[in-house]
Amino acid sequence: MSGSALLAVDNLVAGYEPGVPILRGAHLRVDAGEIVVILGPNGAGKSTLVKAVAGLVPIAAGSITLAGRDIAGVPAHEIVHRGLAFVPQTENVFTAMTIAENLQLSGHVLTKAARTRQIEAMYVLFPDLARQRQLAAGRLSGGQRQMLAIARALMIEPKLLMLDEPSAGLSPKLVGTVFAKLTDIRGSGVTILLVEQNARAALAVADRAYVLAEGQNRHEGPAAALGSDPLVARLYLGGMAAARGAP
Amino acid sequence: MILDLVSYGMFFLVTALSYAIICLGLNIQWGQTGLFNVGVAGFVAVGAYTSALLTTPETPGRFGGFELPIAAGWIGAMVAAGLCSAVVGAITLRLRADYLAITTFGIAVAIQLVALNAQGLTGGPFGIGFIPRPFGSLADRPVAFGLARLALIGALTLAVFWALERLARGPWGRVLRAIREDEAAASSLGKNATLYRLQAFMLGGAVMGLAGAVQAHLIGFIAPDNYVPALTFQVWAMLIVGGSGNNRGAVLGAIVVWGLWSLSGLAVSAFFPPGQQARAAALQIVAIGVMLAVILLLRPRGLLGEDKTVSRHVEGAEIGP
Amino acid sequence: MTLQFLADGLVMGAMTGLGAIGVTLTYSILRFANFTHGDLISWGAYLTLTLSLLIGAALPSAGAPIGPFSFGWPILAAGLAAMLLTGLLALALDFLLFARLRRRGTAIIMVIASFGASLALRSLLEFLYTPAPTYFSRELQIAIPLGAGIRVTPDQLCTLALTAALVAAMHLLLTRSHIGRAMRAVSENPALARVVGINVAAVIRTTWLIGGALACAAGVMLGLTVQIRPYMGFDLLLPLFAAAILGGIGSVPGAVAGGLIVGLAESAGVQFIGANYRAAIAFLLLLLVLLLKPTGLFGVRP
Repeated sequence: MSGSALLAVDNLVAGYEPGVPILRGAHLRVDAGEIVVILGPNGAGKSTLVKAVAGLVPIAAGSITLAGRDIAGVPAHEIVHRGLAFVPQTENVFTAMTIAENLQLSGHVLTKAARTRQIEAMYVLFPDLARQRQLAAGRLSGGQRQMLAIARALMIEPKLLMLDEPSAGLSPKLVGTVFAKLTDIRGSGVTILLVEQNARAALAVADRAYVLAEGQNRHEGPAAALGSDPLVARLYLGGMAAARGAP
Repeated sequence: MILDLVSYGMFFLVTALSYAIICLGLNIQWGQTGLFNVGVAGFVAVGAYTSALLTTPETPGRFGGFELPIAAGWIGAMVAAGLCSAVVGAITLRLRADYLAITTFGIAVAIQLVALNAQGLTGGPFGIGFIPRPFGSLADRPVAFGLARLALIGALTLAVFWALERLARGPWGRVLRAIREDEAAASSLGKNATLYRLQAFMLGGAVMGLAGAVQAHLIGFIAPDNYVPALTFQVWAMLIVGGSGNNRGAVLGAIVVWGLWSLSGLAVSAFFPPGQQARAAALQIVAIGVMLAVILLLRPRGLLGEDKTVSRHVEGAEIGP
Repeated sequence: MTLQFLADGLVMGAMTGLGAIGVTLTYSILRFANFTHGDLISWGAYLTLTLSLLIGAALPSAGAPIGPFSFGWPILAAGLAAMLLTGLLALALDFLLFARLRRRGTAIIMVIASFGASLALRSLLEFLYTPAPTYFSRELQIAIPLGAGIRVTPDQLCTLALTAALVAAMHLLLTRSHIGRAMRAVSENPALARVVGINVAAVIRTTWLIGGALACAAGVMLGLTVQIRPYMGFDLLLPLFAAAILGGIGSVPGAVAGGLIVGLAESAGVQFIGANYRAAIAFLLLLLVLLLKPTGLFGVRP
């Protein structure tokens, strides 16, 4: 089954310090064209999972394959070149560089022509950024920074885009904008894997969802089914109210 | 011949112990409090010159010459070095670790500059001579002389060691440890972290000053050339080899590194012709430098050190490969 | 009091600024105060001297000075080669010592190690070349009067011009090239740099190469305008740190500005307190900056 998946994670044991694993045998599968979301309580290891896939967390055991090739243990920058883009939750843009420079930096693997073309494409996708392309990223608002972070990630035309809590710190309206953008991005052929605390918003756009707790899988299935399952909501998503996105 | 060896052995040990006292002082600052003092030579110099100025006979054109007893000189050295550390600490202790390193380095350079140029105060490049040596009346009986000095310095080292151990295991030391481990928690209990760090810095400086005075009275002569970065480096090497954070490590490291230094000095005089000795001495320093690098790579906690030689408090940013 | 100190201060400041660029780059990208940088300056000068002597011995006729300067083609060629060698020396230090400490230690351990390595490096120079001062050439330079009581030698003018050229090149590199942007990225956030596909290890290697090469250039100029001795670079260390911190860690224009300010302050200061206390001036400047504005003039991060 994992043979056709774009991303396949099996039995992953990983953590920042050796001997103290945060992930204890996690697994997931993302097929091309899907939007998959990882949910779960705080400390479940959701962030650690995507960071491990991105090559930022040491892996003790298990396997990770991207488009059929093993990427466990491959250096993070190498994984980027294989078509995986990651948007961290915080500190996800270079604040001392302008919007244009942030995009140019990401696009360095492309030819100059391709880079220019991609940058223009990003400005079309994110008109807000186009208006202030010479502005230092540190002067942007939270929402604009998030957009820049996503645009930055899309520069390399990734096969898989991973995001760690893209809605964190954003107003409900901005959350809606971000998730609408994600749907657009999926529409252009990019597969998306995201970690989210805001289960309602995420389940509204996702195809499938995984629920993680204490470093292990607890539940998985189609997003719609998960969203309306009261047991799942109570156990892992802080109750139905929280699952609906209420504070 | 045997007498010569014994004499040399006692001289070796006495010198090693004087370095051990400097290390004990550095251990308070670095091992217990995490203060990165790269200006050790400066504080040692302050102690040495203070004691020399207090105890030597009058010299025309130069300040000092009070001809006070040796004990008064040593106490004066501690006070002067302690005061100097207080001033330095008050200005610089709130800087982050690597800026503190650069600043203390600069202070040692400044102190050495003063020692070299303020001839009216310090004798300038000629230094200060005729510093009274303890048990000087025994100087014509080498064994008795050596034994008496060894007894004195040994007792002094032991006293300093014991006092510092008591301090470290007592309430003051516990507060220092608490500040090292979790400053926020310590502050919330009403413990003024800055004040404790300043106290540690002062105490360490005073001990270094005492050692400087001891060394000055052992040799009988001091010059600005003694107080150069190489001295700072030797002391750091001793503390790291022995195991920083650890008073026993400080003493052991001093003896081991001084031993290696003396051995390499012997090797230099054995293998190089007399005309090339000064040049070859530079090779000694290279060897010690390489040795320190190897220790840092292979066994950073030294011979007797704890697992965590550096408190989490002073960690700089990590950047990976 | 003439205005000669302005010229002297500018020349010295230019060389200090050049060395400070290397310090500020390694400090911001590698995040530790590298005490060996001064000794890279000394090694650069001695490597150039040795190579130029070799070239001079192999091609005796090529050694004639170029125009009004005191140096000929052998020194120029030797200098370029030595820039590469010094860069490689810096890289070797990283490979043998700093990289390994970086993987498991903290920044402070690296400073201790660099302090020790610095001592070993200059002692090695003392052993190989003896502590006696030496010179690139015995050519006497006629100082050119510029008016207002200022006289400069052609070598000094060349130093200013070359420094300006190197600084301009560095600025272009950092702002217009990918490697420059990558260096700025790693300097701000190494983890994020990895996430955008930058090979941080390669950027670190490049930083050492550039830092070493610039140190060598500063050393050659210092050797040409003053003299060559094992402590020449180490004696510059406090001014280098002062310049880099004054300018703001990570800023190349800042390092240059800092260098010029330190150079001018030193040469102005010695008019009042004498040449003996020259080293104290840089230290006082450093202290002032750290106490009043630790981020420096153009710094982005303390």
